[in-house]
Amino acid sequence: MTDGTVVLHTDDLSIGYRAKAGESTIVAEHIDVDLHSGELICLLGPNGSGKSTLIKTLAGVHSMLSGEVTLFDESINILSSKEIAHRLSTVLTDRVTVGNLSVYNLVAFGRSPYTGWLGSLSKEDEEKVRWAIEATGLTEFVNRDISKLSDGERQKVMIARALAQDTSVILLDEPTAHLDLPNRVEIIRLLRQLAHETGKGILLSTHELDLALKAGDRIWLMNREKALFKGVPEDLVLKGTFEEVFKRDSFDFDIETGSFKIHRHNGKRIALSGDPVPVFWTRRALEREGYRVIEGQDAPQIIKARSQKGGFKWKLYDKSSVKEIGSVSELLSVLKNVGP
Amino acid sequence: MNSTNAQSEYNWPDTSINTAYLFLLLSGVAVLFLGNVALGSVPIPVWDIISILFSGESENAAWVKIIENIRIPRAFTAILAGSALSVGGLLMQTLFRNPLAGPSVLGITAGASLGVAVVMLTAGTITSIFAIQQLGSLGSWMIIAAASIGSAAVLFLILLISMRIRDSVTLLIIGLMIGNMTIALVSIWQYFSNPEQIRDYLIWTFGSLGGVTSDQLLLLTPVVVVGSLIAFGLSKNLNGLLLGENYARSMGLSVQRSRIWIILSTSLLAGGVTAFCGPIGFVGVAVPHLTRSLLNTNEHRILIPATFLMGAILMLACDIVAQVPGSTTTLPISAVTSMVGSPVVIWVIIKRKNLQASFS
Repeated sequence: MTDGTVVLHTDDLSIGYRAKAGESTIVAEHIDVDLHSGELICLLGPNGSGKSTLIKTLAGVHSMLSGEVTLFDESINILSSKEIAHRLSTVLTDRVTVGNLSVYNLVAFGRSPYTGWLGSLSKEDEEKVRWAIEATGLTEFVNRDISKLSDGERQKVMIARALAQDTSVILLDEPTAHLDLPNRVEIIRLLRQLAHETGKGILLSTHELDLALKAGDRIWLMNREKALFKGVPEDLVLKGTFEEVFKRDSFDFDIETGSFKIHRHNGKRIALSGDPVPVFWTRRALEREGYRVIEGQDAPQIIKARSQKGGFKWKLYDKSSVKEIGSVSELLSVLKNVGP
Repeated sequence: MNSTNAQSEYNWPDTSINTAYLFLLLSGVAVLFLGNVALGSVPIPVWDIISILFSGESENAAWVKIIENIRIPRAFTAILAGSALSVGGLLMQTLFRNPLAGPSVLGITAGASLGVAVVMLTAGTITSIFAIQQLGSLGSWMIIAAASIGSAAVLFLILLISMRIRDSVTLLIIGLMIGNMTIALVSIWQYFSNPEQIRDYLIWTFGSLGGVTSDQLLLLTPVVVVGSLIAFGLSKNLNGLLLGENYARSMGLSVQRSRIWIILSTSLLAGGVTAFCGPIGFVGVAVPHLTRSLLNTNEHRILIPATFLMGAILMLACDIVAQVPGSTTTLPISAVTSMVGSPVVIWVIIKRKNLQASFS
């Protein structure tokens, strides 16, 4: 998946804001990370943990407090903005709302670091632009006005523009914000595919925990205490880093499901077993009602869910009785009446 | 990456500069130039005009004088004023990412007025108001320089504020207020000057294309040409700025340097024209929108030359209206441009519905 080339590297990087009086607000410090070619890294963290600041600092748009960021072993402090633009492109959260501009023209702006003073496209430039448009599946929109695109399509255009810039590194600041679920999945899938097939190193920040855990080759996780954890998603989950970072009063990371718990347990335990599909959905319903769902038999009530011809069936084993149940709603109302 | 050959032969758009529309606009300028020269308080047959234009001869010597000394400089001034203000307006709209920006709206012409007032009224107090005119081209240069510096000062002030305030509507209102303050400054100055000195300035504020002499045109032309060439050279940076400053920066464009050049170009264009023709409103706001809608593009390599020509066309047309063909009356040119320009601004606001969403 990765050929091991480090395309972006940071060394003891501190990010934050300089105040006028010379004192600075540190958002995160001691950041030592590597981005390899061909990998997709998801940057996660609660609001205010500094994801955006980190992306902007790496992109050279925001100045760092101390430390070093290197692109192919050269510090971004030494590289000119044009040289940086040859190696690194960004998709920002800034909303692009310009009208009277076709998709093709906007994607072509990505060639700016390569074109002459007037910005005329050479044959090679045109080829890169066309490739970027094809790679993002935008061919049918080439002549469409930007202002007439949906949010998801517009985000793809911005990604195509970054692709046209032909860089080894692409940074994206919350590319899935404001998008609906199918679009979010599509964008992340597209980025993952681009990273793996074109060998670009792609870093994206996101709030989509589920998607990030599934799609990211590695995760960078920032907390509010100015630290950054990195690792393969599953390692971070199993080490408890996620739980630690996202710990809140009424909002917990669930290590069993890899998502946030919306409902707290009410102390009741219930055992569930059976065929995978009905078990999955029954578990959700039970958790919503506050049950702690366990596997095996060690509970006062045991539910067995089975797929059958023409539907699903549940059996509820109590201390003394067995009930045949035909739907989830029936199951829930029976449980409510019986009590633990 | 998974493209087939069939997809590669997709009907890709042509990004080279299409010159056909330029010829179309250019011929529009030529026709209106001719019309502008032909129409006026003294009726002159078209054939005589053409022969005067091309050979400089006619059976009626008075006609030759009228055409050569009055009408041609006037029409030429209209072209310069229209294109300069329009290109200046386009630069402002892209720089501030604000559809309502323009030299007159942001107080840049007011800044030019201040510069002109300083020169006219100060010179008046020292010697006489006619001293400047007697200075000839030196005086003209002084007025151009003063107007350009005045507009650059206001522009710079607004730019400083715009770095702190992102909201485009707020910025517009601040621009209007700065314009008002500048005008107030001029009125205070007027109050303490004696009436005769003020007269010239007042006439100047009405705006006129007819007062520019051939000698002055020799100065104004290079100023407008240089300003426009700078603007055209900025095309790539302006395109980048359409996406916002952060994106422009991420594509390796120097935002700071672009800003300075944009200010320089706009100050030359708006300041130069305002120095000689007085404050002419709304052309700068309206023409870029008309051009964008007409050509359906925001690509500055195309937009700048097209806006230049559209500005010339609109100003020539407005000037024909201002001369009220068939009568001896002449309307102030800024009144006519406002009548044409204001509806365009209203149309833009209605079309955008929500201006706070800025440049959509």
